Amino acid sequence: MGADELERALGLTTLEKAVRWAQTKSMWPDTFGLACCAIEMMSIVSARYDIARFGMEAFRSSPRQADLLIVSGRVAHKMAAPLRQIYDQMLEPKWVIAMGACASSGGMFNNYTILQGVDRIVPVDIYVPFCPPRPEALMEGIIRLHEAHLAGIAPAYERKLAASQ
Amino acid sequence: MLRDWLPFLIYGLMALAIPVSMIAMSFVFAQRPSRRTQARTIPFESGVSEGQMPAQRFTVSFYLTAMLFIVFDIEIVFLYPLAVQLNALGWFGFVEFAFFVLILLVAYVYIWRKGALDWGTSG
Repeated sequence: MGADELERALGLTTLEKAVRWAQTKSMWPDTFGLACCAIEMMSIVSARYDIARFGMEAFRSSPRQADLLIVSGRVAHKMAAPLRQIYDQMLEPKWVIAMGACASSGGMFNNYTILQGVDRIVPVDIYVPFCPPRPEALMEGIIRLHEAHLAGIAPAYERKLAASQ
Repeated sequence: MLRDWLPFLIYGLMALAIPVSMIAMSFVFAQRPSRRTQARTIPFESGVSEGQMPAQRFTVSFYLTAMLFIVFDIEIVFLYPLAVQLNALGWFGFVEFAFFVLILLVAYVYIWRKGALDWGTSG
């Protein structure tokens, strides 16, 4: 039997894995709804899609209490500075989901006002495409983020820090 | 009788252990912060904070009044037992306390003449 099977059979784990599991099961998002994608983000809290089963129904207004920043909507250049300040005010570990086409790449707004992708100012972990993504699509992104974190993939800011050194 | 309170002691220790463990574990599992942490010292104002507010002027009379209240409140606290047991303490106790109040009266006249009880000339 490999070490993993043994661990699963006996219910043992390393401390890091246990902590990562706990972080996955209570990753509180920040209330960062900007535009139309925010409507879909609000609907995942409803009973039909229900992210309470992941422990994420507690949307925190204060970035100091939030783990996950779901950038849902188009980001104007005017909004870019507050977005960066809110991202800086979050505590580590923190993750960013670029929800929708506008947050991922500017979407249909290829003009002088809209930031062409939020990854120009914050490190992004998961991009959720479509305009707007269905609640199930956003939940797929969230689930993939959980799986990545459980597998040991570092959050995007850590990867960026490691890459720049 | 004391033995009856043992469950309460255990309950109290649990009530202490749970928040202490939460705080202690958050130090154990804390991650090293990334580089841009200056934003965390300023108040949260939905991303448009411009840093700490400059220090405002305030009336120092508030501070003086509070401080003097503490001093004279302690004097009053010493007077309460005299009031309750005046019969037992008799004239001796009364005269002794009168000396006590006299010393504090000197202090009171001092702060009065110094102007610590005035609330400024501006309207």
